[in-house]
Amino acid sequence: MHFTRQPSAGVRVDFQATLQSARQAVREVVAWLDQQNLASDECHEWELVLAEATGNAVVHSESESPLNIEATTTTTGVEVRVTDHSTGFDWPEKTALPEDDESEHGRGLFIIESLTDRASYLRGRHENVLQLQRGRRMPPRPAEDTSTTLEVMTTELSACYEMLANIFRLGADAGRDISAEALAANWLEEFRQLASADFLTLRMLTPDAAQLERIAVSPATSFVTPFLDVGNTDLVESRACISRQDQWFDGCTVFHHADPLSQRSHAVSGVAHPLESGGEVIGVITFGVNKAHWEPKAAEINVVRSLGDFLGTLLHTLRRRDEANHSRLIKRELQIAADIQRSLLPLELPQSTTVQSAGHLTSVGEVGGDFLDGIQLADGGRLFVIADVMGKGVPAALFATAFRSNLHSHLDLAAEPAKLMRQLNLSLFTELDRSEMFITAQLAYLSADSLTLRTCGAGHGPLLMSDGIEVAEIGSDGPPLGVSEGHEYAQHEIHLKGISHLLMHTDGLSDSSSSEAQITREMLHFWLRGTSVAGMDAWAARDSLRQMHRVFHESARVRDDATFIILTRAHATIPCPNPQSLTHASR
Amino acid sequence: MNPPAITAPAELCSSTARAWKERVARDITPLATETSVDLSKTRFIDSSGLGALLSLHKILRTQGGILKLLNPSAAVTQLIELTRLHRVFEIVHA
Repeated sequence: MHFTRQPSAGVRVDFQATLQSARQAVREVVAWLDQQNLASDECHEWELVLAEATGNAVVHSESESPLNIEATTTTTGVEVRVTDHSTGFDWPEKTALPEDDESEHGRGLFIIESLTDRASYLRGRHENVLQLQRGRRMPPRPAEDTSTTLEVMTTELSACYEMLANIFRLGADAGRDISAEALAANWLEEFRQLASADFLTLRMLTPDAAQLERIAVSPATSFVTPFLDVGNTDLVESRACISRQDQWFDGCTVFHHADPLSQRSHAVSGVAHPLESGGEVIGVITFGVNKAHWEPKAAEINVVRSLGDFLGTLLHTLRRRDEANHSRLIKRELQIAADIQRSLLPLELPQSTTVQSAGHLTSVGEVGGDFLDGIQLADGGRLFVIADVMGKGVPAALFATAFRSNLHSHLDLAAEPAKLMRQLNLSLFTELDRSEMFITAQLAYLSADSLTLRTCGAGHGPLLMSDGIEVAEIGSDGPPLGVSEGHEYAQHEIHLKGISHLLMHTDGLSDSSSSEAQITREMLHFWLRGTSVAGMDAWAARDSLRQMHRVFHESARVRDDATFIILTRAHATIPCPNPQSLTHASR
Repeated sequence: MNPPAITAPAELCSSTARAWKERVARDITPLATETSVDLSKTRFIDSSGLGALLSLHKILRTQGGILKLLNPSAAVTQLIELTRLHRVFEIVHA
């Protein structure tokens, strides 16, 4: 390397065509420029320009001939010439950055042109000269230096403080009793001002991760499509979500027709930034301006990225908290409904020396629609009731409650089940009809001497009875309660001489959607006859039927409420050692 | 767990970038979700240096990771902004 200081405010450095020599030559020239009172940032920019220029010259150099840099300064500017002896290259009319942002090459000429006032490349037969000129700034005075530095530091500190203050405020807001949506709406407005943006949209992934749901927009009056399909990578926001990378757009971006950004009335530019929490993408924040081109500063982008990430994580946590609270609330409501349903059941069914009764109720889930009752009446008779409210859950439990209240209000009609059924229908019809629900029910009145049974059915399955030889069905003729207002129900009166076992049951006991594994009507007949022949008491018969129902329904994988009452005569004179007449199971 | 930040040299330019890139690419922890390059000691960077960072960025992305640039000086940040690479790199000032 040969270094020549020229007397007329100039310098020339010759160097070999290697990258190391070129680097050293640039250092020498920049050191000289520094001595000419150029500002430090000017020197840095010249260092960059010369690094690009000499790098190019070395790369294109094919001979051993040395290259050189010549620099001169005047009171108004700096001129530098880089000379090489290669075949040279074509200097483009207009330099530009590579179309592919991630290209590893192609920025050198753009940097040279950006940082100089004039760049001309003179291509000769054996020599090429790159001539660079740039106006000179006034050398800064030391006092101004300190002042500028302090100003920059103050600005940076202020930005950091503002960011921290915002994060604390955001955290404090999230601690209040505020919905995720309200928090997002408040803060998006703040972000818009911080980022000097014209619009912002915040979307969060739906729980199934299939869609991006609009949570908040700023300005609040903007209309933005509420849901975006995450799988549609033609959409800028979906693409940010899938790629987990910022997606930039500007006036040259061709938007898909379904992209919300295409629905704005003027050109827009900005970025869609994916939000992550715990290594998972949870949403996308998009901010932009109503201009075809936008070059936000790195600091502005950092503010929105950092605060956006923080807000996204907060919202994610808040939404999970809300979902958990909602789930707890629903569970609590169902628990209350289940408690109500249990409170409707009698503690025991009425017994006598000649007739035993046992019942069972299985609820699927927390609350079912089945109901049973056994009431000892003032005339010595007993009323057995079984009912099934359409549907399950809280509404079914509420109607079961209403049914029981009405039943107990009209026990004066219990000896005439048809009249009682008509009254129940009249009392409940309006509410059932309005709710488009109905109740099937069966009432069975057993006389005080246990010899006469009067029954009435409303859309219910038949009552079965057996004398040990055959099984008879007592039909259920009328429509369910809530279907026909003022209907006159039919009543059956049966003399029970010879009858040993009777069964009242809901549809859930024998109905099943699986034809391969269900308790059919014939099976129930067979079971009841066998029970009668065996002289089984009511409790043993109840347990036997429970077991059969459990086995069949578990094998069919069908779950339904199942409720039944068994009455036994003659064989029931031996009291059960543990006479729990009513069982209740929940699944 | 992410590996510690890779420290970039004081000058990441045409005479140093290639060797540095090859060394770092060899040493990158496979399957790291996040790799950081500490630029706080980097006084000077040129287009070759930017090319080396872009190359690492692409290598990491193929492995499912991301590259973060830590504490670049004002001059380095200015060059990144001039070449619009702040759209590509995540820049962290700690």
